[in-house]
Amino acid sequence: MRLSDDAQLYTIEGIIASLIMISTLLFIIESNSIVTPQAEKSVDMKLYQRAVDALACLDWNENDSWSSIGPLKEYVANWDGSEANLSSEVSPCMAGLDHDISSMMPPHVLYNLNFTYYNGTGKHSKMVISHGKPSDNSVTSTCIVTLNEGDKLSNYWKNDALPLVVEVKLICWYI
Amino acid sequence: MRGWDDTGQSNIDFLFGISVFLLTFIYAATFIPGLFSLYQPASIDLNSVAYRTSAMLAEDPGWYTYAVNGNLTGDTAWETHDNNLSRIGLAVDKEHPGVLLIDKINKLNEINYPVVKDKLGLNGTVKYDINISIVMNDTRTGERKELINMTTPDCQATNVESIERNILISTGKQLFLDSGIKHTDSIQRINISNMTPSYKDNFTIRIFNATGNIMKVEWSNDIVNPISTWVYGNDYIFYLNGRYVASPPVVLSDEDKLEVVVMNNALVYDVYGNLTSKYIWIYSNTSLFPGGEYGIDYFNDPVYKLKSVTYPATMRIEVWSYAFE
Repeated sequence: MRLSDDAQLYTIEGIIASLIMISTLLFIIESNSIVTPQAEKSVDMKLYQRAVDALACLDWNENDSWSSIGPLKEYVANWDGSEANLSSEVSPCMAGLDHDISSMMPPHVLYNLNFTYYNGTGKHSKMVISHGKPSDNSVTSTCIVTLNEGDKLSNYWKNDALPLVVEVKLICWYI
Repeated sequence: MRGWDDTGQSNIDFLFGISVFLLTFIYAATFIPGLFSLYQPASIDLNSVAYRTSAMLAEDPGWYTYAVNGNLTGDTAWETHDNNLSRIGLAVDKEHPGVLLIDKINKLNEINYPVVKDKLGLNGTVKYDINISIVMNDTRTGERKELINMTTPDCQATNVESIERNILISTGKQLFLDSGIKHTDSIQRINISNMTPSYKDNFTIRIFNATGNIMKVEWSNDIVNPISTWVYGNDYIFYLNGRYVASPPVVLSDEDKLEVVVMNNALVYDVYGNLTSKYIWIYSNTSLFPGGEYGIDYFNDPVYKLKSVTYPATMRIEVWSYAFE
């Protein structure tokens, strides 16, 4: 009897073709490039918007406006240089600002507040409100405050050359 | 014919091979759309529309158009000209994004829903529906006030996207009269003669850091005399810490804030249409006012400034569409 191998060809082709297709599919799924930014990041985007809005709401001009929260500049000018630490999450003179920010934040959100400025002795970055360690998906918004001569400044700023630019950074994250 | 015939097997083998191929192919083909589920129009589109609408409402003052000598021009004060409305925005002006004018919010409350949709750009090739709510935190009284809650129509869609914004609500301008700066007089004259003809707002004087009684408000044509009376409740109103005062006098102590509101329609004009009530006189029983030889200019005083009073609020927008159902 003669063995025939005619029949094997189509089956092997089919199986190989399916293997190629499945491996292509696997490759596509595993590759990172397909991950879309929009839908998953929209939660972060919304929190970022709240953070930007919070600083924007605090940053109004005393000459033509008045609000029950802020102004941010007054808080910065009155800062006594004390930082947040393990025993006190909020620097004592920042209690009012902490209250203002927390009133604008959605529930289940924590935040840190940081002042960064350059003076004669170099760059200083001070954490004035620290409610914890930011998670991976934290968002940051910033606002620039300029301290000028003629502003009511605390003793802490008295020795610095004016005008002095302070970057106020708000870091928010979901718990 | 030879002993073994293999012509018949070819078809079965082919059928088996093609079915393995087709099974995998169909599996792959059905799986691919699932890969792009995150790109589905509803979730992405609604999200960006919600953000876009919130940005328009919070950061743009809106626009209306009118013709001057046949030339089309426009302005942001659409709340007084809503029949020529071209775009809805609630911001006070371009320079203050995030500060919303209460007059525009009130006007938005009156406009028909189809017009709101149209003027917010939600009525294009894809039709969207929207809910807007703005809740103000009035810190004078500690109350949360719902300024607008546009919940029509009811949402029947499965996909709804929302966004919340922190904003400030500008409730109008007030003259900030800080009694702590100087208090030597028991009568305060406020000069309103620099009022422009188009000025339609009430006059509000916020008195704070003061101790004593505020008795009444009167008016005069010149800085000295004669004095003419106004009626409390009709012509002028006191708000003590944001609450209506039933009848004067008002007793003020350190932390109190008194808002003296003189109604615009209480102003007196002569037969030629010129303003007669050029000075507002506020009376106290003690010297708690700065006074001054010429009084305080309501519109342009170097010390006692006219400031726009704002309160924090939260704006929530929900957007959905039946186009993706």
